[in-house]
Amino acid sequence: MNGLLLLGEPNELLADLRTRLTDQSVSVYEYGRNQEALDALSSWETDKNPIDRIIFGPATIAHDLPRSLGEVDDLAQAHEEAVLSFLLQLQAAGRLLARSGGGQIWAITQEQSARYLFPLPTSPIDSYARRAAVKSFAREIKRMDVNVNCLDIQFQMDQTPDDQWRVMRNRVNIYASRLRHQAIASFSKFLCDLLNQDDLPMSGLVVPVGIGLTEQNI
Amino acid sequence: MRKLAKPTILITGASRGIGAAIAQHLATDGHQFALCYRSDKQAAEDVAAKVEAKGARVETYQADLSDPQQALELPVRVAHELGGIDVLIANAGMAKDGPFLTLTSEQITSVIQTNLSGTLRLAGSCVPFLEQSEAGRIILLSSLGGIFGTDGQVPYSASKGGIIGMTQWLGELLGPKGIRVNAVAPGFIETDMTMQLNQDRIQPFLDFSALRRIGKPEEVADVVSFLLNPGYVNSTTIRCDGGFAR
Repeated sequence: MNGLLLLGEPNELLADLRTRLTDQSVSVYEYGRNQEALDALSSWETDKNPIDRIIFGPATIAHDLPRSLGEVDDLAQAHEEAVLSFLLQLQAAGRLLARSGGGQIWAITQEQSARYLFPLPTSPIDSYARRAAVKSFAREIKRMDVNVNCLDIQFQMDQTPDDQWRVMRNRVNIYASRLRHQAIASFSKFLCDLLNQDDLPMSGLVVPVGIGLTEQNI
Repeated sequence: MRKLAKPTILITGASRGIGAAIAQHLATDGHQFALCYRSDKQAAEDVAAKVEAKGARVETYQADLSDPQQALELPVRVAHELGGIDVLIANAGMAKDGPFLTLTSEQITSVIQTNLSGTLRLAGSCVPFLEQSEAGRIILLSSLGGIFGTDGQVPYSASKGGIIGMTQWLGELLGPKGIRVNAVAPGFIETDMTMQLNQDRIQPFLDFSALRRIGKPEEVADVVSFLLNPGYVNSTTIRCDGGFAR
C-alpha cells in the first residue's frame, strides 16, 4: 500500500484508521465530501503522491418524516446532493486508480436495521444507492485492476451512549450474548487488514461487519 | 377518512411500458386513475382510452419529475381535481447508459434527479393525502439493478438502490399510520427501451434467469396489483425477475 485517501466527514472510524495506517508509514490524505474532494481526486498527481487506496466515509442524513412541501424538498435535495457527490467522487476515484495502476476503493455504508432499537443517524437511501453503484461499477473497472467494495457496518457502539446501550441490550436480551460491546477499533483493524492485502480477492461485494443482529435485508 | 370504494391511483410514467401495463391491468378493478406522462401526450391519451374502456375514470397529467417544483405539485394537482389520492405508483424513470468513467456529470445528475430525488419529492408530497385514505399505499418501482447492480448502468442502479432504501425508510415511518410502502424490482422486461438492445446485450439476462426468458410488463403489473392489498407485507422490495442469479 502506497497511499490512502480518506473522503468524508471526520468520524471515529476514519480517525482510528488514519492512526493505524500512519503507524505503518502509509501516507494518508483526508478530504471532506465536497467539491474540494472532487477537485483533489481529479487533479491528483500520483507521481508526487502515490495513491492506491481510497475510502469513502459513511453519510448520515436526518430522516424525520417531512411535513411541509418545503421540508420534502429539503430532504430530497439533501439526498440528491449526497448521492451525486458520492457518484461523482467514485467516478473520479476510479479514473485516478485506473491511470495509476490499480488499487482498492471502499465505500462505508451503515446497515440501518438497528435504528428500530434506538435512534441512529442512518441513511438507508444513501446506503442502498452506494451499494448498487459499487456493485455495478466494480464489474466495469475490475479489468483495470481496481477493486471496489462496500463495508457495511451495522452500528458503531462507541457512538452509543451507555444508558441507551443498556436499554437496547435489555430489549433484545435473548440475543444478549451477541450484543456484546465491539469497539470501533475492531472495525478499523478489519478494514486495515483488507487494505493491506494487495491481491484482494473481493470486488463488487457488500461486506457486512457487525454482530449478527440483521444482515442486509431487502 | 376516505373510503376505498373508488380509490384514486396516481401512476407516473404511465404513457408506455410497465406504467401503461399497470394502468391497464388495474383498470379491471374499476378504479379512478391519474396517469402522469412527461412528454408523449398522445401515448398517454391512448393508454387513458384503454383504461376508460374498462369503466374507470381517467385524467392525464403532464409533469417532468426531474423538475423539483413539478414533482412536488403533481400530487397537489391530482388531489385537488380528483378529491384525494389513495395509491401512488411511482414508476417514472430514465437511464443514461454507458461506461461509468465516460459519463458526464450532467448525465449522472439527470438520472438521479428523475429517478431518486424526483421520486422522493413525489412520495413526500403524496403523504398528507395518503394519510386521509382508508388504506393508503405507496408502490415504488425499483429494478434488479438496484439489488444486483448492472455494469453500464451505474447511476441508474444507484438510483434504484436508493428506491429500496426509500421503501424501508418510508415503510417504517408510515406503517403506524396505516400506509403500506413496498417496491417491485423488475428484472429484464420487454419494453420499448429494452427492445432497442441488441441480442448480445439481452442474452446474458436470459442466461441468468431461471425462466430463461424476458419478462412481460403485465407480469410486473401482477405484482403491483398484489401490493394494493399486501396484508402483512411492508417495507419490502419484491423481485420480479424470473429467478435471476439465485
